[in-house]
Amino acid sequence: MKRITTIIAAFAACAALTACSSTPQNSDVSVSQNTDTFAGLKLKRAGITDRVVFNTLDELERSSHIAVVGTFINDAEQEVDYEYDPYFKKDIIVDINSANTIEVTKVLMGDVNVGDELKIDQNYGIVDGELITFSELTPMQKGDEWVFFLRKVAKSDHYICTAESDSRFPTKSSASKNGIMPLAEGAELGVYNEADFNDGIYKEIVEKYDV
Amino acid sequence: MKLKKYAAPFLAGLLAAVTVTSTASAHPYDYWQRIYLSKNDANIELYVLYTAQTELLTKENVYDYAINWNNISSDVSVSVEYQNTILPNSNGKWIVTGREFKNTNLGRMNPYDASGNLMDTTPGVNSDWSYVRIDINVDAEAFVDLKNGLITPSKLITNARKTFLHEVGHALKLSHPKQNSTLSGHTVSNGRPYAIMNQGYVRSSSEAVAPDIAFHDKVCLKTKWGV
Ligand SMILES: [Zn+2]
Repeated sequence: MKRITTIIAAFAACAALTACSSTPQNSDVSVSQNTDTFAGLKLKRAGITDRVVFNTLDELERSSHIAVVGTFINDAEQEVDYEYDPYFKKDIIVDINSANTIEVTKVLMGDVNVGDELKIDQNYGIVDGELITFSELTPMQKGDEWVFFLRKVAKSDHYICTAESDSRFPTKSSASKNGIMPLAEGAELGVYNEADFNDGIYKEIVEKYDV
Repeated sequence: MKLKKYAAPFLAGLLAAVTVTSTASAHPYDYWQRIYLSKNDANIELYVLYTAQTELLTKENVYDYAINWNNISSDVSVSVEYQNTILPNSNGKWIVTGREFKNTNLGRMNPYDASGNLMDTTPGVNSDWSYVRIDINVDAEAFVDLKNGLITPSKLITNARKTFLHEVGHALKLSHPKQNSTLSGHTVSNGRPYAIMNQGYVRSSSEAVAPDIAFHDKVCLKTKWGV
């Protein structure tokens, strides 16, 4: 894994922000993940991320730019964000991001076409033999098919699931096909903790879009 | 209250029964067990970096409210300092940083071990934290609730302030209340208590997200740290 210090990612982030951090940010850009290695990894759920909670499909749609069914078509590539921390007097990991490409197989909503390829970001990555995730969602694996409600990431051509487990769901046929992740009791639902799965919105989606 | 330092879940439950006999509405899974490394209490100093200070996220609107966590438990005290008023040497203080989240995230709390490694926050995984960082979304749009119709500055401030107080609650080792209607006090919105420790926007009082520290949050804090 090669550390690219304060170059591309840090400058791009600073240029995009009006108030640039006084603590410089560095990024590790790793090689692409190999899906086959997930099974043997130790899982660490890092941090507690707080998000908007959606109770209905209508609310979710209004906060999403597009909604599609799609399949991940390759392994994800990850970027690890470090920031200097004055307490430890060194760089520590503050965020991890992986990006993978889906091929759209059905369009539910928005300006997008079947066959389009979209990059999707998710807050997890593999560091020193650990699968570290800030996300409620199980990692992106080549071949997995999901229903996605997505937001365009500002100043980027990537997308992100609008609201974690309130915004990514299995299709009728994918529930048994999607891979089983380590320690993920709700793996076929795409979540680590089954309580995170939004049953109500899922039922509305199945009824409205027949997916 | 030396007991709580080593208290296993059942001991914490016992403590709860003794200290809050009138309510019994705190539950061991609404907070993380254990404490902070080398500390017997939850006296914490927060240090708000420039990156977290925006037009919306100000000392007066948002950050000074962290002290609302005081005067609930005698072992909890929260103070706030700002990068513009003292030298940027935050050794011993927990940092509050600004972040532009890509999706509808509002904030995040990251606990670390003594070496600066991220700690596991899986519910049921309990360990002594060494250090905590709070990230808050500096994109004001994140605090706009599309469901609410008319967006007023006061609604934005309410959601921003709630988010910060919620993250401070996490730093004090309170977690999201478990959704389970059989638990006492978990009577709102399909088995949640009315609490600031629920995630999401503040809406009507018939929904579970409280704009400020609520009864259930206070019971949890006292159960966790002592009266
Ligand atoms: Zn939370």
